[in-house]
Amino acid sequence: MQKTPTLTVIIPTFNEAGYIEDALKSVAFADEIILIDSFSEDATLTLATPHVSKVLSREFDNFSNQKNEALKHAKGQWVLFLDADERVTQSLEKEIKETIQNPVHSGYKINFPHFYMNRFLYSHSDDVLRLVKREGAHFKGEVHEKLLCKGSVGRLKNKMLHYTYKDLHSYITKKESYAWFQAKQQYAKGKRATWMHFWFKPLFRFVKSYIIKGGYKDGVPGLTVAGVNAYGVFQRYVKLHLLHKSME
Amino acid sequence: MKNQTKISAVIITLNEQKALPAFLDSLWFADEIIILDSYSTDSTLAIAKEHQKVKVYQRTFDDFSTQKNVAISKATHDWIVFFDPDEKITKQLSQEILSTLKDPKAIAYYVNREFHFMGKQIKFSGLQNDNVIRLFNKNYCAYNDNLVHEVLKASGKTATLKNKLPHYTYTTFDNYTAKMHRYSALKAKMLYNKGIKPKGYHFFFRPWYRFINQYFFKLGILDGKRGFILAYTSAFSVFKRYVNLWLLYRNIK
Repeated sequence: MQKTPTLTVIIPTFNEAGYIEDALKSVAFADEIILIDSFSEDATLTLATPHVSKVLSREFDNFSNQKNEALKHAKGQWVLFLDADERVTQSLEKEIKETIQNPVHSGYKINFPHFYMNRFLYSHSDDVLRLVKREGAHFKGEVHEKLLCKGSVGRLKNKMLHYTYKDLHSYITKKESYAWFQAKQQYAKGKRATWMHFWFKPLFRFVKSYIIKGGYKDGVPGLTVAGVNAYGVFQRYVKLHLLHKSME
Repeated sequence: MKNQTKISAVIITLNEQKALPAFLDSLWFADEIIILDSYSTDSTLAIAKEHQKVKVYQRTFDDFSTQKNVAISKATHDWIVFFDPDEKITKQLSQEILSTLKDPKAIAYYVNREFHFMGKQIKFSGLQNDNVIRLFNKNYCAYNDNLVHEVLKASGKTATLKNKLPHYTYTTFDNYTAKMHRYSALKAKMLYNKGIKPKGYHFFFRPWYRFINQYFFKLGILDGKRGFILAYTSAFSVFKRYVNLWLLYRNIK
């Protein structure tokens, strides 16, 4: 009989006390679970520790470095990357087990439909590479980290549940704090906020989100995603502008 | 000789440790200072209690009108000055208040506010100045029941003071937008209570109209990047108001 290949699940966390337990339960089938935490100030670690094989604490600099560090500690032949607000459903679990038993590719994308304002959005579902052979896998890119693997990439049929949305206010404030992160990255590269950025970047983002990606099919929630995305872009350039003026 | 009219200064606070010390000093001309705090988590209370003239009360915040009316009800004297901690009461203004009260010709006085944003005075955008009542006789005045943008209703003769009132709303950008978010949520609730339902034009027309009105018609364009940032932020706040209203009807947070 063929031996089942081993699977490591890697979860990066920062203050995820409300979410982490359910995420860990949904991947209890894994051979190894590694939590890489950037010094959470809530109960994340206390809640998570009984369910994981290893906890790493590391000062956050960017997502790529954070996840690459965890990769160094992984022992499984396959690795699945999961965020605390994501859940592996039973059918996805079954498909993952079957896939790594008989792999055709060395990496698999998983589809993420957005669950937002109590409904799934038609637009804004993405395929993201999350399940990879450990050998040769690594992350690249400082802001939008990208997982790379050695070999061909396939796609799983079952979807990942993703709870992006708690309430409108936290959705917006999350964008606002992410805008600081992005602005600081651009500031470090010596970029300046120009009138072009203020006028067109948010507008483009709106058009992309609402029209090109089909947000208009999703009613008010689709419009909200587009509007808030554009606002997030606007925020980024305001904050870049503030950094150059040494203001907050 | 006629005694100088006594003045109660009234303030409502929430986490004002930064602005409070200087602000309390600028109220030197008041005979008592009433602070109604909505359970600050910073050192607001400690700072307030150090001050001799201050009497502190605490109350859970529900809306601005109620909070302000309750604060006024704690005052001992008839004449009230009611400023915000982000307003700068200049020496000239306080002297004008004292001399006005020697022989008041009205029951409420407006002051003209100047708006400061990101370290500079805003000259256009329709935000450059507004008139607000800051000195009044409490027997003739009360805040109306608007949840937000509460207005002091004065039943009697009003007048305007000569000196201007600089208004520094801006501490950090996150702070500014947080304030806008609070307003838009409260405004959505006001519309909901009135039974107004969100319609297509609320989402597609109102935010754009706000931007165009503030940036072009009200000449925000002459305020430079600040004018643009203010117009965009207001437009987004209008947009968010109607999303909030939509959520209220569906019972989603």
